[in-house]
Amino acid sequence: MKTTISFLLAMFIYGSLLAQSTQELMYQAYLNRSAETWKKAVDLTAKELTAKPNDPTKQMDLAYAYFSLLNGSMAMPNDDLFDEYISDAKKFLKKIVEDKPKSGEAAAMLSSIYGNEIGKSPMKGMLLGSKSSSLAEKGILFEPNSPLAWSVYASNKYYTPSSFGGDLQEAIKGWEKTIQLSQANAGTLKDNWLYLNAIVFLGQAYEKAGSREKAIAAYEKALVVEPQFQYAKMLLNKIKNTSNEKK
Amino acid sequence: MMKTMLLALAALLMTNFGYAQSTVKGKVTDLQGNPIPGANIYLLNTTIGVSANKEGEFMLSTSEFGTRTVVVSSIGYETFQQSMELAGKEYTLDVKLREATSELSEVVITAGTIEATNDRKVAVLRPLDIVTTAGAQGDIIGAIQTLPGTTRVGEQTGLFVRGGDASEANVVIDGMIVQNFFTSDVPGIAQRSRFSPFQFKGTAFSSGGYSARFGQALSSVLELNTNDRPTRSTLTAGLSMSGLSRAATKVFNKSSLEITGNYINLTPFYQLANTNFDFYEAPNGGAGSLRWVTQHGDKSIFKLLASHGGFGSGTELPNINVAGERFRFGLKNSNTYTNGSYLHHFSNRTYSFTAFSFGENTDKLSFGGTPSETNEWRLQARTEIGHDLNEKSSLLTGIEWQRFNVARSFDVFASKFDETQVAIYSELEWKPKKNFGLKAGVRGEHSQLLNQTALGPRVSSAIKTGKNSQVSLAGGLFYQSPNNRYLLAGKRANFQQAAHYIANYQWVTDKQTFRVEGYHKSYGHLVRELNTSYNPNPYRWVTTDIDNSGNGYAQGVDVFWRDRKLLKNLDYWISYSFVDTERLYENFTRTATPSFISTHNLNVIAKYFIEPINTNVAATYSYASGRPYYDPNEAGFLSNRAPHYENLSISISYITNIKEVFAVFYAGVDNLLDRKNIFGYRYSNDGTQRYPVEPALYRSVFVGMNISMSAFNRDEI
Repeated sequence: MKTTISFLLAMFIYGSLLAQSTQELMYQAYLNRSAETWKKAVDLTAKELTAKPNDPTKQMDLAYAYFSLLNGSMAMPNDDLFDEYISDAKKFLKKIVEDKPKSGEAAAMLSSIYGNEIGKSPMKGMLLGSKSSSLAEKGILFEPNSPLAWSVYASNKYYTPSSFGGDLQEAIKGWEKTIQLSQANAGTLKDNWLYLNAIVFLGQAYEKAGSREKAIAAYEKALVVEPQFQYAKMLLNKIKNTSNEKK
Repeated sequence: MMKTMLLALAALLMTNFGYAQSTVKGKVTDLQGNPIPGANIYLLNTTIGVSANKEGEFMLSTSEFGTRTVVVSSIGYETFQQSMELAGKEYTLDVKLREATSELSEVVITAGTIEATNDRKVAVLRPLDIVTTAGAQGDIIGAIQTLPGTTRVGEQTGLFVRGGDASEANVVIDGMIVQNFFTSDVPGIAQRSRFSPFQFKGTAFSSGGYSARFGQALSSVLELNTNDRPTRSTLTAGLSMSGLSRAATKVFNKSSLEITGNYINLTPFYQLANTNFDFYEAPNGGAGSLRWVTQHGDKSIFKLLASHGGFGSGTELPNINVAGERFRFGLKNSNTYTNGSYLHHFSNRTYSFTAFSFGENTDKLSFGGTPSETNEWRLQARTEIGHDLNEKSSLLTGIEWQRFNVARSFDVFASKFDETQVAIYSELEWKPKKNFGLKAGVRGEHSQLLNQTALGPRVSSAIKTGKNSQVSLAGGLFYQSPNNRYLLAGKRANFQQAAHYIANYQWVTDKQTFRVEGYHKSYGHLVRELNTSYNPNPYRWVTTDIDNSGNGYAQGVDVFWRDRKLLKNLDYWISYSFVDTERLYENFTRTATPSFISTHNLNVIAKYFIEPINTNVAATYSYASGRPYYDPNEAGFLSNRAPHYENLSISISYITNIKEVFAVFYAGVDNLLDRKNIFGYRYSNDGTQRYPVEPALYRSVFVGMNISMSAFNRDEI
């Protein structure tokens, strides 16, 4: 009996370590643009869900892992990785959205997946564009304090052509909100790829809007949060090299 | 002793040093006390500054002395400033930053121009809008004609803008003029453009006051920019009542190759509709194109497009001078177009753009058995450099060279001309403030054929009047050589000119756009035929002498409203143009409103996406008031008005995807109500016979589909 308890206890500890490590794995995958690490993170999360298929937290974990992997594959970019997971991810998220119609984060993640698809083949914008936009809006409506929902909303506004409702200023607002909300919960900042991602995207949005100083501040901020963030270093070098006017 | 003194000195130096060094320490948090990592802390007007660490803590050391302003800023928060007395000590400054609210966006100069692009903020229409507009039939010009400032002239080919005729509007692809943008003319039938809307990422339609980069157009420039490098390999196939098309795109590491081929045969289309023209040979032909793009990130992009095609048609037309007699008009066309361009960013501040193009077109006509042939070619090159002088101003300077040759024969008569034009231009854009911008340019152009040089200044400016609204003003002087008709007949005159004055107000929000634009255009030095009588035949041969004594004006108001807010998934726009114009030119006997003018033009476009069934339904309603026509039996010149024009078109498209195969099925009905529009009347030379000028078709149906596959094995092509 004792052995069983200690075994279960050990399993429990191992389990929570696992949970800890998927977050970290995703962060590493994002930083190093590693397809293998992304796959590992998603596969681990999927396995956890198989053990407890009805656990809503585990369901959201897998949804988040899919969402993260697909965004990661877009950033790399890696078509093969995207192709491998897109249909499973979409199927899974559609179901989650059906089961949890009031979940802003679920809606946002599905919106993001549609957005990724449009990114891969713009023609699909005709089919998925309005779905993606309305899900993104639903996200911030249902969960106005979710950094994830705001981040998806911002991407949606950033990538959607302005004649279809895209708006650079709204995108900036969305990512600023993402950052504010993430920072408002200091405990969540560790190993948080989404937070880091919001900072560099905000920088790029500032650049597009012509606010060079702010863009630089954003990239510098990203490097304070994660000194190993090569992408931010690249963006910072690029913007600094392209003008002699440094303050 | 010595040692003590040294120590004392050292101590003194140290205190001095210590005294000079002030340290400001603290923590940056939001209002709730959560740390803000990476916040910037610096002394105003100095280069001294640090970033907060992950915990929001910072330590700033400085030898600055006295009253200094410490600034704390972080993205997404309002900037905090506080003056501090720095006297070489350690200070603590804990800062709470307030969340920022969104700010005012920058002004964009818009007078005269309506842009349709994927990447600029002022987009009013975008490429996809073109293909989903009912009645446009997938033609770029069809969609442009729903915008304010344009007049739909159903029986003539070209773009008619703000009182200008078709020759006054230029079409430009990647910076190069396209001389045969439309398919070859058949008398009485407006022709489509040769290019597909999906080839272009952006469309900038300038209805006046356009940039100094372009010239030789009295009215307007339609600027089209081809797509950048595609990111995926795709295969597409299209099938419609006008023929078949295939396209394949292969993506390499930094480059891409696209190959297209299409076969056109309008037999099925004309079989189904009642045509007002008898085609003894329905338009048929084929075309192919190759496109290569190499892109190095945002640094440089090279594009090369080459296309070749040919088609033929045969129409039976009435001989207006002999009642009941008809003659056959045959056309065989061959067209080649090549365009290459290279854009290179030396840095974020400086770029260069270089482009060349070559176009050649041959039309072999047969007028009731009499052969006629027109051959034209145009070679051109442009190079320009754009440079940001500082954060507030940028300068664009360039040179353009073109040579073109037109040769025409009719039976045993033949004529030709050869022209070389060179232009130098420069444009300065200055934005001293976020809410004010000014663009001033000048273009000098020289024609070898006319042996003339002219200088055209262009100015435009914009001021923001509110978060979403702005007022723009623009003006300029524009030149254009006499029509080819005169140059071919060996007649020479000087440049014709037009001065544009434009005022624009626009209000744009996320989902709504409202624009109103008033303009006045004054034409001078227009070409006039001397000692002539009016003949409305566009194919007439000029025998009289010409000079530059013509003149005219055009003025009006254009209004545009687009709304996507009213109902979810509903997008509609309304455009209305009023134009008042008169001119004395070509073979006009006195000042009059030309026959291609409709005083009132209205277009209402609506599109609704029915989400559950992935179906897009669209309708377009157009109205144009009656155009002037010439009745030789009347004392007044061009004083008669034809009935007004009205058209209601609908289209429906169903979009679906099965795995990675993406398909669009579409069907449209043009002139749903089968209205018998009449554009005007033509009279026989003796004035006894009258013929209505009618569209080629009344009600017609168009059906097609398009399939594309994006994810396929890369070795499949």
